[in-house]
Order: sequence, then structure tokens, then C-alpha cells
Amino acid sequence: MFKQDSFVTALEIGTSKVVAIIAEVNESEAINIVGFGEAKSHGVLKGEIVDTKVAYEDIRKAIREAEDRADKEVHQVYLGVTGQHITSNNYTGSHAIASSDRFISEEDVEDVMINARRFNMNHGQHMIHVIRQQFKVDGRSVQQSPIGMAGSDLGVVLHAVQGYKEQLQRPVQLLRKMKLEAENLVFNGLASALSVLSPAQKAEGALVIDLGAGTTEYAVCAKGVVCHSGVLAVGGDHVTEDLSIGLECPFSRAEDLKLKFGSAVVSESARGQVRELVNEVGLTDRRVNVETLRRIMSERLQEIFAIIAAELDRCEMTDMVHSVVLCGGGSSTPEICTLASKVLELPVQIGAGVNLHGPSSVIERPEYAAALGLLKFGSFDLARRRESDAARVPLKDRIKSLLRIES
Amino acid sequence: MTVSKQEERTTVSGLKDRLIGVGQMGGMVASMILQRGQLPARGVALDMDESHLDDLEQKGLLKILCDGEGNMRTLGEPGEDSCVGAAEVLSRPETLGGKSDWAMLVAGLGDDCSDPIVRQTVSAVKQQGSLALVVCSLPFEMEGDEKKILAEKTLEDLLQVADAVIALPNQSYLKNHTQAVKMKEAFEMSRLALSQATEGVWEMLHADGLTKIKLSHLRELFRGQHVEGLFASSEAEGDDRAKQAVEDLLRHPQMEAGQALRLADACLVQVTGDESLTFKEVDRIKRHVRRFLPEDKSLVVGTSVGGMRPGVLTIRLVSAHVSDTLPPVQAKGQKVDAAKGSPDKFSIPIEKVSQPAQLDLEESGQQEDVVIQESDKELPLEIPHPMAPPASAKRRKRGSKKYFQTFLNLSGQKKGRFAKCEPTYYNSVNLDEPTFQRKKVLFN
Repeated sequence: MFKQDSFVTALEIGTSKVVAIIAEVNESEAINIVGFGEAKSHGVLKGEIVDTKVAYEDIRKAIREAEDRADKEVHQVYLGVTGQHITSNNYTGSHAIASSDRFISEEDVEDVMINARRFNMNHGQHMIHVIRQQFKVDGRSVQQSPIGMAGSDLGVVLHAVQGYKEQLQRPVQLLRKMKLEAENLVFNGLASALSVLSPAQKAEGALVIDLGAGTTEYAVCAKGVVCHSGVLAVGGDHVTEDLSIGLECPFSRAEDLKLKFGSAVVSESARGQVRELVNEVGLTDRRVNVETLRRIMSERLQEIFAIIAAELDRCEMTDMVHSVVLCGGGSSTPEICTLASKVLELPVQIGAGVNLHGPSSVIERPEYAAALGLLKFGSFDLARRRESDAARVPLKDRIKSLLRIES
Repeated sequence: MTVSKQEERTTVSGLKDRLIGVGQMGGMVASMILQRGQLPARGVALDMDESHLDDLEQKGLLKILCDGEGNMRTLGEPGEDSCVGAAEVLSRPETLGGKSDWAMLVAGLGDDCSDPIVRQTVSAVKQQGSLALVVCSLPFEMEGDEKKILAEKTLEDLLQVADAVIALPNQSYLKNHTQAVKMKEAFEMSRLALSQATEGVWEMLHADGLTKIKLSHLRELFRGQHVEGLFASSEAEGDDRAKQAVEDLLRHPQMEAGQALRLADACLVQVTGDESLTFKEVDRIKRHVRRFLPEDKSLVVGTSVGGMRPGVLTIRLVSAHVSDTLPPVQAKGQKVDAAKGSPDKFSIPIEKVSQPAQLDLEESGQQEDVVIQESDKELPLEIPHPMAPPASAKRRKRGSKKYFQTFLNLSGQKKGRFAKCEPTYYNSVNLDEPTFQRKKVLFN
């Protein structure tokens, strides 16, 4: 029988699908997927819930499917969040070392962290993540803990991800209606980076781009930590919508055309290529120029990568990135790596879940990267809780130790 | 001296300030504003033509007659002999207020009589250590090149002397009018726009608000930088008034759908409403405007709940354009000639301006036989690439043809299923619109 606290449930409420994954995390922190549920998403646009009733049904369906497969009841979930309300920034804080010997103490580290956290948030914003980047002692970067080092000025750089409470509350309220608790909110961009990057890539410097249906999240990992992240409320739906407008066909048909004939690059073979489309009764009702279709797709995808490149340039992150990993549903587009590599001028690969055990149909699919990352985040959380539980000595043992009673 | 001297009034914001109208247009606007009695200011009108000054309402207005050779006298002083140097007259406490914090000058540029007086007055204000903010109009194109060149020259001079200049090209008021505009209506529009811009900036600084725009903000924005500015205002009411007001603000042609703000170095926004004004509304407006401003540029938002009209939300925006360079382009492969990135003058987007019917000219019984014919060629219908620098960033050459029509989009770009949700903007470009349409990619 499984221990109750060894389970982690991830819930990603995406624009195209709702995914729920239940996994067991053992003592050695290995993650084993035991339940998986998926439902088509209808009430979400650009990563944000716009129709709560429909979204409620979709979430319930995905959770129930995962529960049935895992044969386990879910009470708490790690919830993935995204949307254009989410912003991220780097903040710095400093603290003058007051002690006479100038050795940095634990209190100094606490103080500098408090100072760095004193940044202004807009009214209605909520802090989702605060990630410590590095310490600086007298202006020099220090990767390890500065406790015990000598210096007169201690600085720290933090990466913070914020979102608006109003938008963040919507999925949480829906979960409450289902008697579920959101154990933690995790930005999807960070979750994707957690799942697809190997420790070597994290150390070397890599950019993860999660091309979703409604949004595109990106995160830069370097020296083992996430040092930049962002979200662009443009995704695969925009590609489909462009096709729908450009080819003058309904959205659903444009989606079919995208999946059947789509590509991120207009190749020579596509030039002048025309495909005949048949209607429900099997008769040819119209023709589609494949070159036009791919040109429309290419323009949109190129723009997405160009914006990310411009953002990295603006934040002076370009030099820190040595490779790119694509994930999300959009990464299944043919020739997407070629296009991304051309725009970003970096080697590009498609990402899949790293260090996870379970059905390959889940782990190896890039569209589940964010949900798998949520599991990883949950496993780290669980490991921290276990550590703190282990450190907590029971009261009985403490009294015995005080009275020096041998048991 | 027969000038009725008013008590020096300290306004709600604790400022001592002065409204100065120069020339016929400036004097009329200053008189009009003071007559309404909404601004607690002292007014001064300067002109070379005594008959113009005589036409102005006397209440609260000090009239100064100038001879064009640097001599002035306040109206009512006996005879020509009383004419003394302009500097002496302007430095009198009753003229410009001695140590007033700031003075706002209103004038219609392009007049060889009044333009030198504008320069003299601004210099006098600056010598007294006050902040000089100039709101001026530039002549219509049909008024001829001579006036235009003179106005441009005066504007350049003013930019060197004044702290801030908000220039309103008269020609821009005709943008919204595809039909014939009567001569009288055109000048009425110009005068009305000038007075509304003046009042708008004034009220922005004097609104009795909770988080109000202060003089320090304006000083920080303009002090010592000699910059050109943009003024815009809009108002809306109803359930979705914040969204509506922001959309109206951005929709004005001079705002170029928000792209004009890309050139801004700082921006002040004043939101005025009645007691029903909510935090959410102010936050929404702030977030919308913020999207158009470069990230490193500051945005100051002031709120006032002293709106006189119940249910109406008003937004007033002033932005300063200091730097001569454009922000970097976002898309790869696109280049911007930064050297040409100086902003043009902007007009004020007030709906009333585009509705000459509200001017009640017909009621006054005046009949016009001269009309300005608007042709398509003269309209600025060139649609810029969304990722390209705004049209206003291109420096115009004198005498050259300003606009040409390359593409006329009658229906607007489609946004499809995203039309009903919050638009996604990236550096003023609406990403919900198809990329191929924005880039004007042609297909067979």
C-alpha cells in the first residue's frame, strides 16, 4: 500500500487540453507516473479561464480519469498557471555587514533577502515565485552560500514571477468547488524548464520555449538556476486563426489543414503545390495552396521566435543561452527546429520528460512537458517537507535528551 | 493704472500660477478660459493690436499692449510715453506674478506680430525662475508657406527657451473630416482645441485628488529638458467606461493607436471620475497605457474623485518626448533609422473637435462662402507597418509632399476569435491580428 504523502498530482489547465497526472515519489525522489487523465479544454483562451462552467467540467473529467487509472483519490494538486497577466523581473538587494569582524552570518543573508524582496508590486499582483540567482560579496559574484565569508557589502539577485490575483484565483476557486486544494501555483514556463532540461543543460545555459495553444512560455536556465522567464499570449491558436482568415475557412478546418499539411518552413517542394479538400460527402469542394498555408504559418512562428530573441537581447540574456529546447504542442509542427534555429541562431531540439518513469506515451510527448514539470516541482516540495520532518525531533526525544535518559 | 488687480490665489494644489495669452488667438483663448471661471488663475493678454485687446473680456485679465519693438504698456496707462521695455513690464509682480511656480502660455504661432512677443514672454517667465509651459497651435496649410516657416522657426526657438511646448498642428483637425469644412468652423476647431488642451493640462495639475499629479511630476518631466509634448484626453461612461475611455484615447489618429507613446520619455496620466471610481478601473487604465510605453520610461498616474459629472470617467495624458532616438525594433531583420526619430507635433484628441456641429455656428447666423476642400491626397492615409516606427517619427521636409496613399484598409484587420478577449500587445503591435496581414505578405 502506498503512503498518502508520497503522491503528487499535477494539473495543467491549458487552452487546448486539461491534463492531470498522478505520480508516486519514492524515498530516492524517483517519480513514477501512476495515473493520467486528459480532457479537451473549452473554457480557456490564451491560458486564462474565460468560461468557468465549461472549464469546471473539463477539469473534473481529467481529474476523474487520472484518479480512476491510479485508483487513488486526489485532494491536493500542483496547479500550472500562465497568461499574459504574468510578468517576471530580476531584482537586487544589498545589505551592509555590521559585525566588527566583517564575517557574513546567517542573519546577514536573511536581511539581504528581505531587502531584495522589497520591490514594488502593482495593486492586485501576487508573487508566484522568487528564485535566488546569486550572491555578491563586495560586488563579486558568489555561487555558493556566502555565510562565513568576509566582506563589507552583501548583495543578492532574485528572479521574481508575479501574476494578478484575479486571474490566479479563478482556477483555485474552481478546484475548491471540487473539494480540491491547490498545494502550490507554478508558472508553466518554469515547470516546462524543470521537466525537459538535463542538469548539464541547466548548468551550461539553455532556453526552453513551450509553444502552447494559447500562450508561449519561455525560461532561461544558466548556472543551474532559472534566471529569466516570460510569457507571450500568442500560441498555436493564433497560427490556426491566421490560417482561418488567410484561407477563408472555419477555425476547425484550419486546424485540420495545419495538422495535415502544415510546416514551419516553406520548402521548395511546397511551391505551387495545391491540395484538394473534400467535403462530408466526398466531393471536392475547394483547393488549398500549400505554399500559402505554410507561408502564413511560417510568418507567425517566425514572429514568435523573433519576439523571444528580442526579449532575451533586451534582458542581456543572449550570451547565457547555448542551446534551445522546444516543447508544447506547437513543437510538433514539422520543421519547427529549422525555423527556430534560423531565427535564434542556436542549436534547437525537441524536449521530453527527463528523469521520469511511466508510460512513454506521456513522458516522451513534448505537449505534456509543463504537466511533467509540475510533478517535478511537487517532488522537490515533497523532498523539502520530508527533510524538515526528519529534522524535527519529537518532543518525547527532546525531553529524554534533556534529562539524559537512555532509552 | 486701471487694471483690476486680483488677489494672488493659491490653488487647490498649492500652486501659484499664471495663464498668459499672446496674440489674437492666445488672448481669445485665455479670455475664454477665464470667463468660464473654472480655472483659479490670473490671466494676462499681450497683443500689438489694441482693438484685439479691447474685444477681450476684462474680468481677471491684465491686458498689455506691445509695439513690436520690445516696448510694452499695460492697457489703461496714459499715452505712448508710458511705453517701457518689455522686460520691465513683464517683471512687474502684477504681470507675471513675480515668484509664481509656473506659467502657461497660449498662442497661435505663425503670426509675425505675436511670435516675437511669445519669445520675449517665455524668456521673462524663465528669468523669474518659473516653469514655462507653452501650448500653441500651428497654422493650417492653406495659410501659406510663409506662416508655416515662421511658426516652425518660432517653435524651434521656443523649444530652446521654454520648459515644455505642446504644439497642436491645426491641419490635423481636418484629418477626421472627409467632407468639406467651412473656413470659420476650421478656425473655431483650432481655438476650441487649444483651449481644451490648456484647460486639460491645467486641470490635470490642479485636480483635487487622492493620488494627484503634482507640479513636481511636471517639473521632473519637463524641467530643463526643453521638450515637445503630447496631450490627449478622452472620457466615457457606463459599465465598461475604463476600457472605453482608453480605447478612445488610443483611437485618435494623433496617438497612432498608441505608437506615439513609443517615443515618449515619460508620461503623466490623470484619471478623473466621481465617487464611483474604482481601483480596478485606474489599474486597468494604467496597465493599458503602460503597454505602449517603453519599459524603462516612467509613468505617473494621478487620480481624482472630484469629477463634476456623475458616472463620467475622464483620462488626460501628457507625455514628453526628450530623446531624438527611437526605441530599438523588436523583430529581426527590421531596421529603424534612429537619426530620423524625432517626434512630430501632436494634436489633442478631443471628440468635440471632430464634431463641428457642436460649435453652434449655424445658430450665430454666420454664413461662410469659403470652404476648405479635403481631398484624399491630402489625408494621411498611408498605413505604417505595425513594427515600423510611427509616421510621426519621420522628419518632414519643407515644401515636400507629406503623404501618399499606398494601401487603404477599409475594413480594419481581423482578429477573429480573439476579438472579444484582452488583446495581446507587444511594443504597441496587436499580436492578435494575423502576422501576414500586418506584414502585408502577398499571396498568389
